[in-house]
Amino acid sequence: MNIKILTDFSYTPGPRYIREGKDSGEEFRNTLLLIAIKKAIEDDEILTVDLDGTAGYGRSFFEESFGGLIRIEGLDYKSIDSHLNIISDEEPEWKTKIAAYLKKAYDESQKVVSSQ
Amino acid sequence: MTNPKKWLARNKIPIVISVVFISAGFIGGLATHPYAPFRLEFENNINGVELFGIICTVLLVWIVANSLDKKKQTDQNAKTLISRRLEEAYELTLKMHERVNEDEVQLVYVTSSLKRISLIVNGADKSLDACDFKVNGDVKANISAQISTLRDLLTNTPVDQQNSDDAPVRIQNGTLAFSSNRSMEISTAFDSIREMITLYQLAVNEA
Repeated sequence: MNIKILTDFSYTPGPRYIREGKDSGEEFRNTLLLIAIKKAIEDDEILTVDLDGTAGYGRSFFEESFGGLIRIEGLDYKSIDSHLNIISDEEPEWKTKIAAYLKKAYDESQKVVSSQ
Repeated sequence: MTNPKKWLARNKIPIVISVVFISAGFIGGLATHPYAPFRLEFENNINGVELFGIICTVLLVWIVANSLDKKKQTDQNAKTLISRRLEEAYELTLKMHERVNEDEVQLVYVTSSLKRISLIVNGADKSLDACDFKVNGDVKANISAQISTLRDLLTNTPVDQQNSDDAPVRIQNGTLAFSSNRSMEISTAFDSIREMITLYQLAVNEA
């Protein structure tokens, strides 16, 4: 399973939320990423997300789309981590950043669980 | 009338060459003089094998010197090209800084400019590797870290931010606006990144 942001979503990815502007991280998560990662987990396949070729990304776009999978959608961190592959040859730092957003969202969700 | 000092300064090289040749001739003449205490003897016959050896040595020296000079020239051209690319990144940060200082700036402009700067710096690093130039690893790592900091300051909006007036970054219709404190942080980050690009250029020249 593959998602190429340039061809499947937008050349100019935008802000964090839909209310902040077009082609947001929230929109990307709702329309593409969530469905694809759920299917990948169900079918035990790897979802490859290719970030190359676009005009560039802001931090919030990825934090909202990937971190939101755990924070908003309540998906399991380990399932996402074992079924997701990121391609980012142009800006390799995004691979580690996205992994960090997922981990941070997971850690924060654990804090909420333990405080309840 | 010509000033002797100026004339000497203008003809320094021919004068030095003339002095060297005249001195060599004079010393040679003295050494071969019949009454000289350490008279040098020269054979009238030329040994063909020795002559061939001398010609080979001269040719070898010429070939080695020529190839070394060519490599030096190629390396210098590569460094100039890499440095020019880094200059583009420097100019881009200047333009971007001006645009960000305006009241509002498009998010797409910011993200695409950051990507261009990042691509240029990564490209320079790849070119250095391809040419086998060694540059202090810290210089490149520092620029990458600074680009990352700048990206955070410019594009990282907090979760559930309601665009309140005291928020460091506000975004509406894809347009960014920054608080005065955030603007100062951004200016400092731009200054640092330009300084680091200059250091990178110097490191490339020294490689």
